[in-house]
Amino acid sequence: MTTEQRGTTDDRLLSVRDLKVTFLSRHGSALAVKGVDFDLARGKVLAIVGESGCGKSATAMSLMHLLPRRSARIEGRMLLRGSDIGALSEAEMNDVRGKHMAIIFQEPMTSLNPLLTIGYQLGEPIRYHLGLDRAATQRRAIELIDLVGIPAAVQIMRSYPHQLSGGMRQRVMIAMALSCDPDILIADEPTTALDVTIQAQIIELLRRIQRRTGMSVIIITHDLGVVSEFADEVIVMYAGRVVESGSVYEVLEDPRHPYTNGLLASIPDIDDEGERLQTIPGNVPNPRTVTEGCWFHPRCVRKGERCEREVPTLATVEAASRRQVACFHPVEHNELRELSDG
Amino acid sequence: MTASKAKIAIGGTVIALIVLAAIFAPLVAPHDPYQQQVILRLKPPVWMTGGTWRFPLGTDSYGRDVLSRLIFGSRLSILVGIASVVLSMLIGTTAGVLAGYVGGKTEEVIMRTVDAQTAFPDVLLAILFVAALGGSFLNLIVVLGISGWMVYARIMFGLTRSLRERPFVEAAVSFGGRSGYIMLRHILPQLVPVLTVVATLQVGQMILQETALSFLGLGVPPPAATWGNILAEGRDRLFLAPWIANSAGIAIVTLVLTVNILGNGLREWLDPKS
Repeated sequence: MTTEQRGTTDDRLLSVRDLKVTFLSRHGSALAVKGVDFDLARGKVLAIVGESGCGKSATAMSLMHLLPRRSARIEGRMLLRGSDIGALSEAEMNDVRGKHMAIIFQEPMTSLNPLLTIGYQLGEPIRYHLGLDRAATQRRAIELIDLVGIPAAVQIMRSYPHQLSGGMRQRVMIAMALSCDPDILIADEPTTALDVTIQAQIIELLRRIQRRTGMSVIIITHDLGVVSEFADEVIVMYAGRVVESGSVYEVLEDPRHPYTNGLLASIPDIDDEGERLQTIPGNVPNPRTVTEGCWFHPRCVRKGERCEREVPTLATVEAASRRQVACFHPVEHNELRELSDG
Repeated sequence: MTASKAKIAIGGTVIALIVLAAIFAPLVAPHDPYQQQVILRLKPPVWMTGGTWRFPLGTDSYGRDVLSRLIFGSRLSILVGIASVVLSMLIGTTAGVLAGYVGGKTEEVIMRTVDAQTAFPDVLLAILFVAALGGSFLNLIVVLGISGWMVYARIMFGLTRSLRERPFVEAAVSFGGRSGYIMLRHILPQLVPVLTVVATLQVGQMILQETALSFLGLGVPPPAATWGNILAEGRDRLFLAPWIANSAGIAIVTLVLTVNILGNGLREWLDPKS
């Protein structure tokens, strides 16, 4: 069974097929995303997980057409309710952005214009897409501020971004993203720049709003705690490819790819007091360099001879489940997570 | 008081006095600047032998009061200075923001035009214009406006390019903002402090340019009282009646200097790092 066949067409809100992103520069091109497939069902939360530089943000940005056209080439199909948004012009895309798909970024401190009031900025997507009059826009903005749990909405409307904390600003960004009831919310590391206590609040808020509105969410993160709390499905990316995908429960409980296994082993465990934290040796490869065979093999403890020659493709490992792994030597069931110390 | 505020105060006060004198010229000037009295020609200023309080800065070779001509002349110099700055600011900012935000071919066309015109001498351009259109108040503004827009285009281009990458601009794009709206509402307001400083400093430059063009006979034609014209007329009598050219020269230097002091004060005051 390939990804094309899974699920029915009806519950698929977004289907991404063979998405490739190439960054072009004077020094040559770099293939940052090397053919990614995934589906997002209505009302589901999909997590994209991976280290920095594995292509997860590039995937999200290309969905929104936010990568500069001159320096990034995007190939593949991105079907939103069956129509390819990859082929849309910039003007047509303006109607999709903010209305059907909205994105929140990781820098809440700088994502708001310092010269405009919160109320004005909150009203922007409403004015772009819904064409409401002034009073209705104002009412909608206040409603949104209440929705994201900020008290004293009227007062907040009149404040400027510098008067709010990072957590408050991220709430405002979430409110802006929600203003036109998008079908899909993309959250690109929404909690990375926030304090730990605020992180939990923001994730809790996103989860509450997702349940209430039934929108689909793509959350990009490297925090596996966030994944386990929030997501339904997860795809693990490494060096621009999906190396493992499946339901959150399956992937986190029983990782089959050595990379996923390594990520999970690197999480500090409260019971293992005093033990040295496991790490995955080495670094994410530079997308400009070319690695023969599996891109993970230089860092892999399970690598065999074949891994140095061939690139493994994503394949179903168990007939009963939808999970897929791209590995010639997947981690066995219930095998102890361990890595070499190298 | 900090140095920047002192500069703003000094520059602002002197400029305010000059502007007030220009506005109320008919009340302030002791004589009609165009009235010729041949008997009273080439009277020296009051501090020289033969000078009288009737003509504090003396008279020119047609017997016209130099002080009155200076006061009336300031009207034209200031108006031309401000109007040409506004014109070049409009052209340059539009071009710079477009080039910086849109990029690509638009950027190439605009910025290469800037390079080409920067390499072309201003005075030559002015001569071409005046030869084609004739010298007049309006043409002078157009010539100066067109010869000065590149400064704004260069600065606004650089700023817009860096602003375009700022997360709040990216966020506005991600919510579906149209390019025109983003340029007007999110980028332009960020440019205002820099624009204010550059424009203020450019007013001084434009006044200098205007006097230079008038001096070369490419400005508003005589007998109009402009500082450049007074300077040009004074040149012929520089040894016999140095006060004519000198008083115009001092007026020009004073105004340009105070405008520059104000501009520098504004720059320091608006710069968060100082």
